[in-house]
Amino acid sequence: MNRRRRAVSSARRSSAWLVVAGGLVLYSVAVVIFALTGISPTLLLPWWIAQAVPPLVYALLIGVCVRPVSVSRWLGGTGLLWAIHMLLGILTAGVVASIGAWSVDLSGVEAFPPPLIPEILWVPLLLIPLRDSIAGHRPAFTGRRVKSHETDRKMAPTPARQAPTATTAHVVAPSSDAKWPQRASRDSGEEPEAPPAQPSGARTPTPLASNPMPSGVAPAQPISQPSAPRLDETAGEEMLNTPMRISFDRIASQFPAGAFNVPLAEVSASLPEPGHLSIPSRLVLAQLAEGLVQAGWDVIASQIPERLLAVTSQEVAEQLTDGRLTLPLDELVPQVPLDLLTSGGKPVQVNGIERFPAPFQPAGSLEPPVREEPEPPAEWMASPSEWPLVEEADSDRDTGELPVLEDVELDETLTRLDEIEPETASEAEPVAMQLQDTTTSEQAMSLSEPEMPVHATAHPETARDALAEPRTHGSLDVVVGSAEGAKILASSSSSLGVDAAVAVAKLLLPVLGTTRGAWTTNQITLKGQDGALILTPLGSLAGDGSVLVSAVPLGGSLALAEIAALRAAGTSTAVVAARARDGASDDPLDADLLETEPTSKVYRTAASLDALGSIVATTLHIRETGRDLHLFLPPESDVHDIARLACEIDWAFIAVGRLGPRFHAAVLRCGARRLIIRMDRRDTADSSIIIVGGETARPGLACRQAEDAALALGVR
Amino acid sequence: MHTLELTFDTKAVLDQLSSQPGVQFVALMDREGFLIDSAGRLAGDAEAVAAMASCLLQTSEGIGRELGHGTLRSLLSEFDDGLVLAMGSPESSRLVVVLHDVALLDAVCRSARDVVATLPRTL
Repeated sequence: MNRRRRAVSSARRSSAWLVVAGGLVLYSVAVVIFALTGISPTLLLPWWIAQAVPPLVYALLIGVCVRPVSVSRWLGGTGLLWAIHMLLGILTAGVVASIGAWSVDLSGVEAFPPPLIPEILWVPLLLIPLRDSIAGHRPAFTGRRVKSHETDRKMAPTPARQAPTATTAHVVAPSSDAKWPQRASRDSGEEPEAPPAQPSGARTPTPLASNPMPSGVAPAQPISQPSAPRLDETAGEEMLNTPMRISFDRIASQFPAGAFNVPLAEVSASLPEPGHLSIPSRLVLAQLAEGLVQAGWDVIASQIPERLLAVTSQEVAEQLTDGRLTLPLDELVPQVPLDLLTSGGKPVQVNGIERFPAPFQPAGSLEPPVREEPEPPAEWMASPSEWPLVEEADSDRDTGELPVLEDVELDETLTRLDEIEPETASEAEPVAMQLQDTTTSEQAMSLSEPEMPVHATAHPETARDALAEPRTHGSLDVVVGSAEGAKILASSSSSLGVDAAVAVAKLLLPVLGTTRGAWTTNQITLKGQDGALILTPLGSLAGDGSVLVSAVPLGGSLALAEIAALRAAGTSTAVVAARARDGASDDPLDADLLETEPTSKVYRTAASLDALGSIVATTLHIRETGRDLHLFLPPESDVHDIARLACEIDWAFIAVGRLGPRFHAAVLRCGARRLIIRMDRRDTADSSIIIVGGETARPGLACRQAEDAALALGVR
Repeated sequence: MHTLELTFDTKAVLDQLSSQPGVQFVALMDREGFLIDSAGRLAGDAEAVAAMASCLLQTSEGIGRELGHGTLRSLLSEFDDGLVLAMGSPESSRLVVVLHDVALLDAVCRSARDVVATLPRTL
């Protein structure tokens, strides 16, 4: 892994001070020479002009050598150098006076104010070490910041890049009185030197040169196909001229704190295309093959009104990590035509490529016909004509653009919550009231639908606004209500929004807590590009059931959110399942599943799934839709039951997708078992569904292998 | 397009790291905090430890952003009876190491850095 070299201030460079010291020696020699030769260093100028020259010269030098510099620092630096000039003259006079008893005549340098020469020849050398201090800059990174900035302007950076690592930042808990070694001894450990720059087109993993462990690790193989064309070189002009777009919220967290003088939501709304940033396709395609796409601040800056910036644009750029913003691949990749991703170049070695994200999969018969969505359940049929933006949403889908939540109104039948009975409302009240002090809850209640009994939000927005706008990352919305006899406690801290969370919960109530043979669902986590949704049946459900629904952003806290919800839930889920299934649509259950012989590829895939214990591969064909379900389950599992469960979830995904949020994977926690159901992100009629399940203590690896299996079997 | 041949053996790497003196437990988790693999002994719930460490890393990254200190490289938590080291980047897997002998922290920290450096970005 490449390492960016440490930031070094000019004041900490020993070479700079060596130059200053050398200049001081020469200065001393000059003084002696002046004395020995009897040359007077005093110029034939009026004394007041001679004294005005040094500050003017120093001011000029600072202006030229230290850029950019504020006026105050300019004046301060000039004053500092002038003061040093005077001090040096006084010290010189003192030294000269002390050795005046010598035979040489030193009267020429004894004068005060000190003469213009030779001080003015040495003092400017101090600008070498003091440059950064006078400028007040953050230490300049020795490396490639400037170059990367220039690269963005060209919009075609070289694919080879250094890993975006930065200065070491140890986060250390308050030290105890324990006998830990001195911090200096740890921190002063030799930092590995930055390796030499890698050649373009190649990425070489850092060798384990300094690894004290036995070297039994097989290092990752170098990735080298240097002659393969980059995507921006193979793409057509039309593609290159069509900008891509990303959600502002996805990169908002990368901006430095205090960069804007308004909330991020307002910045997002002020963009030329509200909520979205436009990224040149050439910039994306040039980097996409590396699996990391970054853009310089200058690409973004032109889209953000300058009046919203709390600091200068240059300061924002300097405070960004490496001067660049990392763009969300999951939003960019779907905007790249599939034929571009799968075309061109020499035949490649694809061993192990299933471990790599979808766009880099080898080309096969990857262009299936457009998926004809099956008729939705009856409760979904009633509403489409009432959605004014349905046509717009469909057209978005046709053009390959990702539908976004704010473009589609939510179906009232899904977002409406039944009144809570007084006794249950009192139980739910504390959950909502904790947040009501900072809200306009009264306004919200007056404007919201009467069916929504409690809708507390941590932001001053009305309930109607909340329905119309997406939730921003980091905000928290809470809804407490009931649906079909089950109490729903829903919260959202992601862009999915709490209303979408409720809608999904209503659709998946029949699945929650269902017992399918040995599989009893304790928790379902849905994953999509906008975040994750965790549904957990709560507590002992002797009476009405409760479901905790948490919409959270994808990221490092997802696993902990699952565990926290599960710990709050207890273990009993039977009543929720029984009640929910009474009202569930039976359409998905009628799927006509025909067992077929798995292909050799399916068997090979099964062999790679070792995180889930012993499994058996089965392929079921849905006669009605022509889709295949590939199941990898323990031998004793009822594959038909699990397949029907997967179909139910698939139906729910399709239905929810019409509202905006799109999910592609569901992870069901069934005791010590996990059931991972992976659908195709594309709307294709013949796409397969991958179902992987089994007992595992390594859920991350299980999900990783399920993802690999999906990719190997053509599910994107 | 590049050819990828990922031969990274996570279990072997974790075993080697956990066999170092002073190391009690090592876990590798994905970018969402789910356990990928682990080695060593742990009294508590390994999944929970991995999830909490991942959450801590994410929170600490936020501190770095607030302070303008750049990318988080590692996180060190000292306790009365041990020490937890976590490292990794948001784009790749994350590593958590539980130590009971702090005197060997330097060596373990260097080894852990090397392990993180070898993690494939896709893992």
